[in-house]
Amino acid sequence: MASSSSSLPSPSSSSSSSSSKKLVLRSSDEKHFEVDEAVALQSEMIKQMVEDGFGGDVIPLLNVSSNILSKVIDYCKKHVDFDSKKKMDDRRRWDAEYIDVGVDELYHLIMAANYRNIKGLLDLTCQKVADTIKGKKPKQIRIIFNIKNDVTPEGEQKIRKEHSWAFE
Amino acid sequence: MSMSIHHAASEIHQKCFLREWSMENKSKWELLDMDCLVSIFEKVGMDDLLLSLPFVCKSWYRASLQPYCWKVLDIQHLQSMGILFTNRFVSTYRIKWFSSMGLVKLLVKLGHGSSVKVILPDEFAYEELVYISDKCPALKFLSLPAACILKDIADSIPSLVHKWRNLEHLHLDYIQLGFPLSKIVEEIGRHCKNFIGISVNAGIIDDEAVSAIVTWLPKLRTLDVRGTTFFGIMDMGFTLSKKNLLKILGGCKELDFLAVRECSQLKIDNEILKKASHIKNFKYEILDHSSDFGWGPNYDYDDYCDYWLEYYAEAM
Repeated sequence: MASSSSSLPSPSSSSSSSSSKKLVLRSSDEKHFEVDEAVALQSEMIKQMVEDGFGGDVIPLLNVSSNILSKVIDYCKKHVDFDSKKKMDDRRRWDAEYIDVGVDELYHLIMAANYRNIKGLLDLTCQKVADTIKGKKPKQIRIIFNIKNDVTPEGEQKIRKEHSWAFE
Repeated sequence: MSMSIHHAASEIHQKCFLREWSMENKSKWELLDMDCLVSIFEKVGMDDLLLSLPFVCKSWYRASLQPYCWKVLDIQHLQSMGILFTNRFVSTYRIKWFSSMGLVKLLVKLGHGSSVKVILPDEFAYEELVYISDKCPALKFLSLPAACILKDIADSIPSLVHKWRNLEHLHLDYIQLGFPLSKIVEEIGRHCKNFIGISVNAGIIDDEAVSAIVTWLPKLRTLDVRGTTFFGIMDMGFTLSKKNLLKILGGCKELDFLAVRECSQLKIDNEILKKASHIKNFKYEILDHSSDFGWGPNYDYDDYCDYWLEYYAEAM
């Protein structure tokens, strides 16, 4: 599951033969994804849009690129399956493999899960970051996540003061 | 930066960046929404939240100050790290001396009094519990290390219960003889209107405590008792007798989660099963002494975990 490009569905070519209702999602780079309504409704935000009557047409997802959207759809499809079968071990194994991605892809998945309000995916992605952070020093964290250090020595001193009052 | 750290970190970094990804998709972790950062931080231990994350960058520092990151105060976790934690804390914050009361004050302040779950360490001072009781009115879940509480402290705990107005669940680790469980239960019944659950990790729930439970907590919904057995053979603690379990089943009609684990002297027989038949989640195990150690057929560990995850999610 390193790259999502291999599983990128082509526009409106979802192979599912079931007769359930379909929704069409449009990524920021203008690609269309036809998915079962149940899959799309994993997103609380899309659910709200459908309830408000926006479901009939194409649902535009302005800030999600097609490769991230494809990966998000993978997650939602799989979890619709899981929800009906409820096998915890399978779910954990699949999730662990799914989330084995680089920090950039992880970042965009978190953004997508947060904006689309997909709780399971948000938990999974945030847990992955948390596990990566655990036990690391600030310098290591900055290197792993490519974060610029904008804390000056004075700023550091201020942080110390904020926390050390209780020990004076 | 020491070479070894640099080497290890840059290796991880390289591994991450070797994946195909174009420049425009570069992440900007310092610009991640505060909500997302907080969701991440609440999944990280308090040691990292205190010692590391505030110093990464400004936005992470700001996120670490959000009360939501401090809704669970697992002080036990920090104490279990022992000198590893205190030494790092002292050197990170350049303080002269460390005190557990200071830590409690800091944590409570960081949570702005909105912390909902507190896990006290094996060693704590009565003043610390008083401070938490006074300053955390939102407290819903409290874990007390009953085994380590000195008698005079234990006897004072009932007088604090009225401050835990929003308490929903009490967890006790190893109840010793003389621990005033019945008095605590009575006070909970009087003052904690949302209270729904007790869990006990080893120790004794005696006749007096059981009477108090059925008298004062008839609306109890969750009871989770766990005995202690040594390799499943030798009883290290007898938690609950059959007579008392039946009494609870008769008195607490709204129980919907009951777990009886590792109580080797409490045989779950037909009489108990019949009385417990209305309980949606009844988890028990059958210890088979002829084999090494076995879970009973009715014991679904995954379901059990699910329940607690859901419970915690609700409690938060």
